[in-house]
Parts: sequence; structure tokens; C-alpha cells
Amino acid sequence: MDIVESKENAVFVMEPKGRLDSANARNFEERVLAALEKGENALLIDFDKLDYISSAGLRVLLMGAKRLQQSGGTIVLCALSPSIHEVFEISGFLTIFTVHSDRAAALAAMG
Amino acid sequence: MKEPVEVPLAADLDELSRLAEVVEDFGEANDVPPGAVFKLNLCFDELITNAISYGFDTLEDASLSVALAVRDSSVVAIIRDNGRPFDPFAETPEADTTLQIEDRPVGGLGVLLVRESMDDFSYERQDEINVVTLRLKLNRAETP
Repeated sequence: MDIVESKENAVFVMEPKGRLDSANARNFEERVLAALEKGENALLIDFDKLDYISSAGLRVLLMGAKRLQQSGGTIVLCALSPSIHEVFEISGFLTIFTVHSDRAAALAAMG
Repeated sequence: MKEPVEVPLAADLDELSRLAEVVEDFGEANDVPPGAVFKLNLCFDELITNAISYGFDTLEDASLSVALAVRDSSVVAIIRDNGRPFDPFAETPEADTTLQIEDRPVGGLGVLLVRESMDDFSYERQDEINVVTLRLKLNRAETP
């Protein structure tokens, strides 16, 4: 799984590509933690290129959300495929994460 | 690749991406829609990850497999492993999905996703083997 990182003004954007499963969730976790340790406190995870996520990936998102909540930061998601959206719905994650349709909408809302 | 399909797996999480490709090929060959393929892969991922992570004292003699078939407009999948006896549906506490961020425990969602994604699920212990059978109807799996 590749993760493309970029900065849009104050927002740190992470775009994971392909599959986010239990075999590579640790890699994603390390990248999220690295961003938090650098002091990023507005994270946008863009799912546009993500085909698949399992509970191992959800776990990392929840961990990131907990940390950011404690530090007064925000984590926002965008561009969930219908199948990934359903995983979020089942997990109750749609009520704890802000989700936008695409990156432009997310950045506008976070601006 | 027409059904049925049987996939032996090494006790290694990296096998999940290889399995996902096999399930995609199975889906294309048997008119299983992409949304259903996603759900099947999700369930295999969750259950096999649990088996590999917690089911064995040593992975040396671990043996796992997934079998896939289409029966009566449903996909029937059977996951077998020779780990210690474990019924994922009886012994896993139900995750509370209504809690807010600060109260949500990290983890515990895997079996919930299996329960909610499949139409039927069952567990049996057969001859020292854990056997999980999943069934997904194809008529309501057309979204998305």
C-alpha cells in the first residue's frame, strides 16, 4: 500500500492507495503517528484511491481520532467508495467521523 | 475459474492479498458482483486474521484454507483452520457502535462486520478443525 502525503495550507492530506488490511495496517499506523508527532493537527484522509479497508484500518483511524481529540485537532475523511462507506456505517464510524464526498469539499469545509 | 474453488493458505497475513485476487477471479467467473466480492474478502480478512493472530501456540503446524462455491443464488464460503477450538460468533463480545470517540474501544469490530455483511454464518468443530461457514445471497448483494 502506497500512501501519498501532501500539505494543503494547514491541512495534512494522506491518500492511501489499494488495500488497507491487517497485513499493512501497521504501516499506515506508523505514518499517521509520524504526522501527529510532527505536530499536524488537521488531518484529511482521502480514500479516493483506496479499494478496500478492514477493521485493522478502522482501528488506526479511531486511534488517530482519539489522539487528535485530546490535542484539540481534527481528522476528516473523504471519497469513500460505496463498499467502504458501508463498512463505516456498520461500524458506527459515520457518527464519529466527518465524511465529505471529495477532497475539494473536505478542504473547503476544513478551511 | 469456475466454482467450486479451494485455496490453501499459509499462516501469514500477507496471504490475504493473494486470497483477495483469487476471490476477485472467482467473482468474475461466476457473476458475483464487486460489492459481494468486497464483503467476502472483508469476512475472510477478519476471520483469518483472528485465527492466525490468536488461534495457535506456534504457527509451524498451522493449516488454513478457504473454499468457495455458488449454491442456490448464494455464495457459500467455508474457512477451515486447525487452531485451538474457537467459535468467533459465540465468544466475541458485541461491539457497541453507538459510543463516541473517547469511549470507543480500539478494536472488536471484525466479527461485527462479518455478522452484518453475511446472510448466514455458523461455526462447527469437526475432527480438530474449526469450520466457519458463511453464506451471502447474490440477489441483495448487487449494491454497490
